[in-house]
Amino acid sequence: MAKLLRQRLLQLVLVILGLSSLVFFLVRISGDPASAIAGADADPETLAAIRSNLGLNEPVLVQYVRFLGDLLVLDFGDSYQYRSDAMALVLDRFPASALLTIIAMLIAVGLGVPAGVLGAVHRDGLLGRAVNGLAILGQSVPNFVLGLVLIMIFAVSLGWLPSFGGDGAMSLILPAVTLAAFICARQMRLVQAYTLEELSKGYVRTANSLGYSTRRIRYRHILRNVTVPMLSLVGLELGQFIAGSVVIESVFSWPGLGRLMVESVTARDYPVLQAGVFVIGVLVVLINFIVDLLYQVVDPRLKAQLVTR
Amino acid sequence: MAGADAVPLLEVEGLDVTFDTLGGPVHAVRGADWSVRQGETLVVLGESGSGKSVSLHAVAGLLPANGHTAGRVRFQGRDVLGLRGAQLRRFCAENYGMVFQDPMSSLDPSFTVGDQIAEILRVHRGASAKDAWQRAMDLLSVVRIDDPARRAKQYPHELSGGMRQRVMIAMAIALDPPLFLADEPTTALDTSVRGAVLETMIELRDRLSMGVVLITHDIGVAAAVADRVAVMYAGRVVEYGTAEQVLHQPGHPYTAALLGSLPRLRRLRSTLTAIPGAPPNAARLPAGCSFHPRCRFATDRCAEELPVLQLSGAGQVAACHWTERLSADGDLGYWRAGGDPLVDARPGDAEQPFVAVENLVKEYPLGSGRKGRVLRAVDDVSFTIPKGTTLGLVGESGSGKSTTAMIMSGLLAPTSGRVVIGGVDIARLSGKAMRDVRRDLQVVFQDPYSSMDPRMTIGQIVDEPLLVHKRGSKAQRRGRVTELLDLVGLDGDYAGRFPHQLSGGQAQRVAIARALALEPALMVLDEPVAALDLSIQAQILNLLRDLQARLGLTYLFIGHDLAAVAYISDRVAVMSSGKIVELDRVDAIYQRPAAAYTRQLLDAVLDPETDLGRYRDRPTTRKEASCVPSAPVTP
Repeated sequence: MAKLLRQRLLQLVLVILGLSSLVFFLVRISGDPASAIAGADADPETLAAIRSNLGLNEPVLVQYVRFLGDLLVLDFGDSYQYRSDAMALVLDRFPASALLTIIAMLIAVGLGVPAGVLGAVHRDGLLGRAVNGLAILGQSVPNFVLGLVLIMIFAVSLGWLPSFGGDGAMSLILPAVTLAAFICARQMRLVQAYTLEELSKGYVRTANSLGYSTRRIRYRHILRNVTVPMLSLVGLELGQFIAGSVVIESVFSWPGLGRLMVESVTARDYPVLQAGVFVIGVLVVLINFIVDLLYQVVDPRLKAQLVTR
Repeated sequence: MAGADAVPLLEVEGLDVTFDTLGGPVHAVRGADWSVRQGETLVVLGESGSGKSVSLHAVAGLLPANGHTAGRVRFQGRDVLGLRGAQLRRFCAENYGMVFQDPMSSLDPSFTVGDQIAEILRVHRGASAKDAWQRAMDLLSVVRIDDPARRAKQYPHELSGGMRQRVMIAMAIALDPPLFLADEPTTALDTSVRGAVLETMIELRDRLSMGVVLITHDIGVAAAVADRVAVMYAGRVVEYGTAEQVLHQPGHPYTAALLGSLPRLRRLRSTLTAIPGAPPNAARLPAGCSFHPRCRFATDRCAEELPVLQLSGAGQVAACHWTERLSADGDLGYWRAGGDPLVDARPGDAEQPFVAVENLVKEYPLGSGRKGRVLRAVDDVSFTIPKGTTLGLVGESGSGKSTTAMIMSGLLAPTSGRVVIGGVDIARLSGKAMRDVRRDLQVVFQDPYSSMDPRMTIGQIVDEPLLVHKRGSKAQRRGRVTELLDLVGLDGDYAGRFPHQLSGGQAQRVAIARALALEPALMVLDEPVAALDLSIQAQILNLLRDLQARLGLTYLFIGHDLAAVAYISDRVAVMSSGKIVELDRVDAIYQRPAAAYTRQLLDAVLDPETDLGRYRDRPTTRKEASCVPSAPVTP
């Protein structure tokens, strides 16, 4: 247990260092923040003043060392755009993304897992084909298209739901459903594949020979064994989307981290980008760590390994 | 044992099982008849594809959705095949206790074994969590698992194979079923635990007055436990009678042929009488008697007319036109062990060794390895093999025999020690030098299919080593491939086929042909017959013996079946926990085993002639007094 923790801490440090360095250099070769701040037709003196003000006129390596020093004390500086603390901005937007993702994930798991199991059990029947079709449809329709279609139907034509914004439960519904549809499709597919694999295993035959009901076999025995591979998928997606779904947040003008990051890229707002990447990195490593811990709970074989090491 | 007039517990009459497949219906079981009485053990004996497991699954309502049944199955006079859905599930759970081949996969890996036993009682008896758990522990001690309170809290992967199978047995008897159905219950177990598991089963049969149906391909197991034996071939019961009748006075040529192809310690030097060909595919059965293409007594009538079961002894029936004549002439007794079991054990100890393995050690780090804890898979192993002879390496799972084979084949580097082959230490070689040695050193693995590229033809597979080592022009190589296939008894036509079109025995022949392509001096044979049916196993063992005599090959033959290993070997090394506990000439090992472990292995070998009724007729003196709790099972 202590060893796993040590491993994960080391991993966290490496991931953060690598990611931050990558972003540091990438943004610096992508354009000039000074012109983004001052506008395209600003005179050279103003630009130079802004650069020296931001410390961008120094050699890149000097900037990098200073950046690493600030990283050590978690100081990301002020946003160029908003003139306020970059990390505060990021943390301010983060809950909106997290809320959206968690709601979407709950919808996706709640629908995708039973649908996947049913799809596997009735593989050759109507239900199996329906699950298959939906899974392919869900994965192949780009989510901005689905988002726009949903806006057209429920916001524009029917007027039941707001089409954008981040206030209240009503405005959460459309983006959450759009994101859920995407995640759900993948989960159905995977749960179906895993379940099919489990169905042919010996313990299912044993359960049948013991006269257990099909419901007990499916949702107690098979599902428990399917949970193990499912966990890693859910973990990965949580990490990916909790940090903001760029496309969906933009389509629905959802005030989340993803949209903030897109805006910061356009504005060359280095400090916000760095802070955002830092938060995302920490999150992904943290969620993977939690998934690892959950593995031990769900899979007794891994628990045994953990105790021995 | 029940009297002969007892009413059958389970009666199977004219059972037909058909599977709908993409290639049309496949008739897997064709009119099987058998029955079992209370307190009696019926063994259904057959090779893979004989329909033995399918008929058991049909009886137990476990057929997949594409399986259809016809005929009659009656349990205590009640029709079973007519039951459907929840009714069928309930009926089977209450009346049958089932045990399957692989106890690891048959248990749910995510629940403790105690939970899995308790679940049965909670579902079917509505027991409280506490009562169910208590009863689970009682059941574990009934099946002779020590310290049930601790074991009940463990998961299947934490138990040994034998213990897992005992857990399966505990689950099977949890509801006190009148009938116990076991599908190859000891096939996945080591021979040393096999006997104890069989003993437990028979003991429970007597205590709970159950009837037992045991499905197996292993004649020794059949002989040791059966009251009655039904022999199945190509979906039909071809012979049926008491164990003494069927296994000592077979009335069907197939039963006699099976007995003849069984390697036995009592007749190591007489050549096995292998059955030619392979069991037929259920979708394309030959006309007349299904066995006639492989039968040494077949006549024209056999190819035209399907024989029905007819009386050949008191209560013994056989489906053969010629049973009466063959029995009268004594033609079906050729398999019996006769005379001196071991005559011409070849010497060879004095000769210059071709292979010398010295102080071989292979260690694997345990856990993180930083604390220096290691597993010694191979622990100071030394042996020599004189040129042109066979050393048999026998051991159970985890004994280190396969690791030794891997090192010998140059596929794994030892931690320390030397492997000298023809004067060169291959443990220290790499790159080009290793490739040169490889030519002289070929390996045949247990599973022929997984050791061949499924997308290459047999011709390409056998040709590949020739191509890689640049042996001759294309035309020359093609000639050589035909020659090699001929050497292993395959027609040249096979060159155009793909591995999946071959039977297991044919595929193993191809693997041997490929190994022979570069004219090696040494062959490492890692369990080459373990995955094959008995009749095919004998063919391959005979082929290997024949090739050795013709080509002067040196063999290292790895196996877990002492009789099969002894059959092909000049000397045998017995391995246990990474060490060689005994190494001697075959006759010495057999006649004067020195190590206790060797004696244990020898004792575990089941011979149909001498071990008939070994676990069936248990001496009543070693009754279960000691380790059985006061009132675990309601009689």
